[in-house]
Amino acid sequence: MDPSKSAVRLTVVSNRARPGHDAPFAAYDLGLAHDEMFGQDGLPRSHAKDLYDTLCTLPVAELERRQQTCERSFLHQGITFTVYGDEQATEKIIPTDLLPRIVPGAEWDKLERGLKQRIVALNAFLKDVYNDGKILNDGVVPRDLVYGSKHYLRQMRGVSVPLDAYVNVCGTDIIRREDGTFVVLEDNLRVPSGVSYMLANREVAKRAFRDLYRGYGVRPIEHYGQELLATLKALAAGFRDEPRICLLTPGIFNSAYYEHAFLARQMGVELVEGRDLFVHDNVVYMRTTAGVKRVDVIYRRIDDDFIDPLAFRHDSALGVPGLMNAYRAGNVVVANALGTGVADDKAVYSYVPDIIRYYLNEEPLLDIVETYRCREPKALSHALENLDSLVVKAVGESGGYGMLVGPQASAAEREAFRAKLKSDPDNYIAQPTIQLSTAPCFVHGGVEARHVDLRPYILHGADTRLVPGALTRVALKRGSLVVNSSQGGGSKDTWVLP
Amino acid sequence: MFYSIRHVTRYRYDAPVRESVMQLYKQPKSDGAQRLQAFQVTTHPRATLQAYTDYLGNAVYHFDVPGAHNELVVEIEAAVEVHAQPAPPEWVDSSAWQVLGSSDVQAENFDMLRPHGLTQPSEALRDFLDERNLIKADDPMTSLRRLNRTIFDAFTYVQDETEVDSPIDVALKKRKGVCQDFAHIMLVVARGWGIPARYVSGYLYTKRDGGDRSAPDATHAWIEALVPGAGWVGFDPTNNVLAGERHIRVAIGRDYNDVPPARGVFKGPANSELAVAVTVTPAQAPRRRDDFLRVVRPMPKRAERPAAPSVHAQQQQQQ
Amino acid sequence: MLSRVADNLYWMARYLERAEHSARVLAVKLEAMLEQTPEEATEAWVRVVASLMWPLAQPVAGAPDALAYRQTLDRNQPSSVFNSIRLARDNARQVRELISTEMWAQLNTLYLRMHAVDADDEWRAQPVQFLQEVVEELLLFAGVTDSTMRHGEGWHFIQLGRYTERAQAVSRLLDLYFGSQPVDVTQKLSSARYFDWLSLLKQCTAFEAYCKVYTAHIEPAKVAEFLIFDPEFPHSIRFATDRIQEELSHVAPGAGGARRVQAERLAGRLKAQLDYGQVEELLAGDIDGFLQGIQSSCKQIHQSMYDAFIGYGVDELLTA
Repeated sequence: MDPSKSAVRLTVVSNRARPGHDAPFAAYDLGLAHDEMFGQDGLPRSHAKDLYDTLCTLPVAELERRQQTCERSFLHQGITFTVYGDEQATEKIIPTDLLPRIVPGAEWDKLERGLKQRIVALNAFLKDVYNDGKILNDGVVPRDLVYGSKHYLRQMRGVSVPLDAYVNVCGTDIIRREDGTFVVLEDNLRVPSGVSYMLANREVAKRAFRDLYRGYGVRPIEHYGQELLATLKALAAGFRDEPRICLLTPGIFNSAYYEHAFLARQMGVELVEGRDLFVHDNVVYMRTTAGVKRVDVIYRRIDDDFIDPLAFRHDSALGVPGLMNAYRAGNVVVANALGTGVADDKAVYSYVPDIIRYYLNEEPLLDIVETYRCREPKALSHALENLDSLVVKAVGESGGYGMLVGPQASAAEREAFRAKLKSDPDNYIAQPTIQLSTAPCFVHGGVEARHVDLRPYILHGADTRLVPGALTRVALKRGSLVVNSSQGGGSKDTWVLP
Repeated sequence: MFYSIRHVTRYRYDAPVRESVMQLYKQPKSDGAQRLQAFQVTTHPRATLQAYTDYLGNAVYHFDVPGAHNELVVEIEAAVEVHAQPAPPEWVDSSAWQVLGSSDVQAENFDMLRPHGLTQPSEALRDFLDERNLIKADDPMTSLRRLNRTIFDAFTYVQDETEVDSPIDVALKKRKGVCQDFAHIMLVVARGWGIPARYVSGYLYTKRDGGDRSAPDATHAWIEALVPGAGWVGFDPTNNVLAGERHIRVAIGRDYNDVPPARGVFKGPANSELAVAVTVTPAQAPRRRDDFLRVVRPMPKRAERPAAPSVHAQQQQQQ
Repeated sequence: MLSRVADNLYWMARYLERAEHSARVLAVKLEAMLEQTPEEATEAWVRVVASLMWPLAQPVAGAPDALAYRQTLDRNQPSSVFNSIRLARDNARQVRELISTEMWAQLNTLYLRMHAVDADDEWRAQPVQFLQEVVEELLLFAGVTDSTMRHGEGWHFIQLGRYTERAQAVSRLLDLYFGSQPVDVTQKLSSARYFDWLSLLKQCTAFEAYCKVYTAHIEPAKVAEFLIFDPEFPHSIRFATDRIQEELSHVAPGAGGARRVQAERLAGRLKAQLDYGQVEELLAGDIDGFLQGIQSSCKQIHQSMYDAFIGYGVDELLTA
């Protein structure tokens, strides 16, 4: 089917709604994808009606003004990321879109249950593969997939992790299929970022649409910092009542530094760099003006490889020599635990439904995207035959790197990937191209449809909790399906209704 | 046999350093034919020793020296008993290849069957195998014996041509190297044939007149391969022997980098010089005295120091 | 407070004070030039710029305008006002979560202005105006700091940095005027000399304050007395050393007596020197040595503060 033929143009609808009004929806195209605001009939969905009406009443100039206010607020707060050029690094604001994306309460509750189930199962999986390896012995997940993963850390074998909670902060990427169901696209179990944008978006959206926000009775998310702090605190409950917690950042040159500083402030904990810490007799200390102080919990935002030059990459200048020893000895909690990346490998992803069944004896509540594991000959030949319609991903990568989007790639790019697939099939998976759902965004002085995904943040320690909200990432280029901020994506607030 | 082992490592710095953290793979194993009778680590400056067992069953010691120091000396003394074992068979049944291919063996020895770190196959290695016409023989034991001899014949034992952690191509191109190089090469070939093989770090009681090429008084490295019907058999390609009563096992790993005898990190802008001394003596023999440190990695000239002053240091200068 | 963070705050303040001092001195000098013969102007310039520039590899030479540009906007001149502000901002960025949003915004805006493509044009059109505005922005930053940041340990480190830098900068400047040639305190000032002393006061933003104490009658001895010993004028050396001593007692509240004793002793001795010093005695004796002594005392205080709170060896504390 040719997508352009099935597209519904909404001009008529919006004119009918506000006859004679300079309707902001004039250029709103409905494609094949599920749309967050409009049903297939072109009418606003019931939960989106109030937002739709508000947008139709507001003059475009007013929307413009609010959008600018919101961008200015980001700039002043320094909600920026760093782009490295030839000579000087420049700081850019994360593009933010004014219009909230609305998720009905019932849909959210179902999603929440699915996410909790998933993180519990993934933690059980991590505990297993770093200890007895039952799931490998039982042949449910291939052993070489786990042991061969570059994120599998042998140093973690047999190390006891507080509460068996390996992944304490998880950012799961969710998309909506064409039929409107939520499916998991990717788990981020290492050092997921973006939660500060979720909170910053809320602040500006709340200001921009005060009445609408109150009218909807949107569920609050502002307590994320407290929830995170409580989760981290509980991890040290075994050995310290009032643990000293700190957030370990690679430093100001890291693109997510703003978020590190923001979260440290929100939790009221010290923001430290590797050089502020040292290990003595298996205990971690930090250097303060009043002397050295023992550290009990480290919420680390440094990758495994760089966290301890003695145990991992010897050339790392960011880490803390001996940290792994202190961790193994149980004298400090590191969150997320080391070695969690083995469970967000894209090949392991395709086994998560089996992993859920294996450990929880339950059916998975959330679907995943159909995945061809190129390590399997049948899947490989399917992938090779359908490169023009599939998305191919390298298993150990994230952030949109090492990826081929078949329908949008050139013939040369596809041929290059064909060669890669043939020479190293184990390293790739293929998935059908999914039209991410679209949501209204304020662009070019009007409201247009842009593809979005959804990243909620799940906290796991003594219990599993998540604030009812998420980062909605937006592919700001018309028609684009890539939402990563490193590749021109932006974000917007997500309103979860009661 | 009883052995007394003394292993001294001395780091000297040309400027005071601080917050040294160090880990050691130096404790002889106590399993199989080998019994550890006594073991002691002494450091100067003094430090509290911590220890743990890694996932491969090796004993790892570690410690830190927080204060400023110009020298760090680590001295270990060990007493080890090694029993004579019956010699492994000359050959095994060719059905051993099937056993090795079984899923149980594959699963249990996953790490020792795959290329890792310093044990990557290369073009130079394929050329070497072609040149020596080295292919799998009828059974694994025969194959390994042939491989052991071939490496011994093809390479000259020369120190300082390679580093402890050089890729195998360096030795392959020069046809020179030391025990680590030979062990790594043998590991790649054995694993390529589907034989689980692991790196062994340890000591050798050297007999120069007995045909050993290994430098006396140094740490040693060889390999162990899993041969169905014979278990893990030690091959020492440096000396063209099977590991026996004179080989004292300390640690096993996938390659050298899994089990370096000592590894450390310190803070401070200084160059370091490393000196090492090892003696392995039959226990009754009188011990040698301290005049035996050999500098293996001299301090570079002052000018070669990488210029990376800390932020603090830079700011200090601007007063 | 983390040692690194204290260090960042301290250096942020030092660089800002350095930038402010440089900008003010250059602005005053550029204006004073108008009253001077070209020879006088060039001679005065070389001395002044030499007191600001770093590193001083070779003798400073060049036309006043070019030198002033170099010390203001030149990115390759480590001591330029631009680079001081850049380094201050780099330090501030690392402690972004500890300073107020207003402080960050003020500093960031100033940096972006110095960094803007049209900064050079602005300079060429009206250099004095440009420098004065930089000074005003920096004064504003100091005010914003005082009124938006908690006056806790971090704030005290900022003050410590500011006054340590100031005591050194003012004593270096005074040394140019009093140290090199004997000053005849009874001498009647020629008009050229008068302007020279007037400009010294202005370089320390001290002219109006001086007039309130001594009237507009300018005498070198009184200028020296005011800029060295006045207890109430914020740019006098005594004021700065009083503050250094005071701030040192507030930083690192949890640190034991043994660690702070050296820095506090040095600061107390410096303060006593200024509390009981007399200008007549100084002018009759070794004022050059006195001013250089202040600079080296400041360096010692800095070093012992650094050793006690920032770059200390951890071993002593672990065993304690």
